Amino acid sequence: MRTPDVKALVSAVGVLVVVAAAALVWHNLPTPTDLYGPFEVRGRAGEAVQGRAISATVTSVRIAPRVNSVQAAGNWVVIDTTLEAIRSTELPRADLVAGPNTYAASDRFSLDTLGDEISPGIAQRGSWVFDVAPALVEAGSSAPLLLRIWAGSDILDSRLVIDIPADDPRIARTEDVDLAERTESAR
Amino acid sequence: MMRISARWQRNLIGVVVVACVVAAYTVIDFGPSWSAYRNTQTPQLVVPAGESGTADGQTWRLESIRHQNRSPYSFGPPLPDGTVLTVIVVDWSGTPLPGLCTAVLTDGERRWDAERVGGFSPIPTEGMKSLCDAPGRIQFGFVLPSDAVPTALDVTHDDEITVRLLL
Amino acid sequence: MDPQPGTQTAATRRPSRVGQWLAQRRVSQWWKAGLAAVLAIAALFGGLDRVDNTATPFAPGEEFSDGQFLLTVDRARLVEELRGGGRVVGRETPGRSYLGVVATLRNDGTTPGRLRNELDLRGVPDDMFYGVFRLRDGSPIPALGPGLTEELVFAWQVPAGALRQGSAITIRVWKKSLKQLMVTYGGKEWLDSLTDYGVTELVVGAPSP
Repeated sequence: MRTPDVKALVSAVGVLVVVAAAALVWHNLPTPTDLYGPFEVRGRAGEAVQGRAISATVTSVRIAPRVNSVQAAGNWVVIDTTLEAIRSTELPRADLVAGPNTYAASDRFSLDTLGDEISPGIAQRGSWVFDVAPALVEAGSSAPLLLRIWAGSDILDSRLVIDIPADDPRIARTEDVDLAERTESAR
Repeated sequence: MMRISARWQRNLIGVVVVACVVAAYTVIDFGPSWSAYRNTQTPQLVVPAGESGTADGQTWRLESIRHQNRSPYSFGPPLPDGTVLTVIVVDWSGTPLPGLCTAVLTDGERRWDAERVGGFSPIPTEGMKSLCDAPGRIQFGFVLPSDAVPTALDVTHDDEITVRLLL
Repeated sequence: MDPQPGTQTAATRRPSRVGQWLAQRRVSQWWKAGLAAVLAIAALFGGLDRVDNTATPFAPGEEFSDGQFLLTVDRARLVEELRGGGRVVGRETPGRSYLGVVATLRNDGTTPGRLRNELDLRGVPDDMFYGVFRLRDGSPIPALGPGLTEELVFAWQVPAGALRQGSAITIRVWKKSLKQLMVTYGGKEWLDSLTDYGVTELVVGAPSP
């Protein structure tokens, strides 16, 4: 009886295992967000949420079909926020997660909305305005609202995630919102 | 003690060669990024208060520093409540460096970027400029909370600290 | 198969035993096995994915989905000066006219969708994309949020004689799929298909369907 050639067999099996493992890894590679994504800092509206570079407090939320007499495609969500830089001058950026959707801040009110530089020791009060699909923000909707704020690029940096519960008393619904000017003051 | 067989001696030499190559590659590939990061944390040159300093073909000197609590402009918004406008003039000569040149004021812990065009920095008078990319007398304006005590002015190129002028 | 004469001892001659075993097999079989192995390995790494190549015609007034947006192309107009919301959006330029295509778009995705390259104007020589504007107030709109519907005007600048009332223009809407970015930093992005698109023809100046 010819004895099986164990070494060659093991080699062949080894090759198969390595190729199969390589294919499995290739189909399950980590995404760039897994590798370089931001570190989330969670908080709620009404409290100061502090990351590495920025501290933010959501003071009120106003939902209306018109802001400064400009009609939205859906409904405007105006989030009044107080921002402060912690250690150095930063450029804050924000987006809004409403239910399954993510919304970018509107560019139509740029002189009155947040997004200008913030510096340490000087609090900036203003609003971020988002045009959101009405079904997600109507009274009684259970879709969670999350305001996300970060400084500059969010690669490997903090990202504040501020939860605005649907039944929060800070939410006001009106027909028209007048955007207040952005202001700064040192405490 | 067992004598290492010839085959394992070759393997050992191979491992050493590979380790050296990997180390050399790491240093060559990662070195510039690492030193660029270090330069954003530690200044290349520190100039004590009241003196001038020279390094790398450049000479830096702090000329003047003044504070005011109202906007230099009669139009536009007022200075934010509780803040002070600090105006610093720096005199430098030598060879310009590449990169975006700006200034940062620090109190040892916090750092404030210089006001940009359209901010609260006063319009430079005759003989002064607001951009530090070329030699001359440069004026920087900073809006600080009134309780901040600045201790140094950093001039940066692409965020790397070129010179720290102690106040 | 014939039994091999002269069997060797295991310690010194193992490779040739395998060699003899291989040689026993008919050579013509091995290239088939090799080919099958190469194809199998290529398939494991995605080398055999299908490549579509289809053009889907749709008519003005008919809804068409490109995966991200649901759009309805309405009409095309040729104007010398682009006006919207009661003010001038594009000034009159000598030698050039504005081609405006009115379309209603709904973003069916979950992230804001960029509009600049949504309509691909074909066959008009020397055309230059001018911008996308809201029909209702003439404001420029770079992106449409998810779940929102807007009536939009896509505008191009075209040479003065290139088009006139009654000319037909062709517009392609490339199909998109949501892909995870793997090389550049980012999440999932809507990427244009390289081969799939919808195509429609509009007559400049024709009334809405």
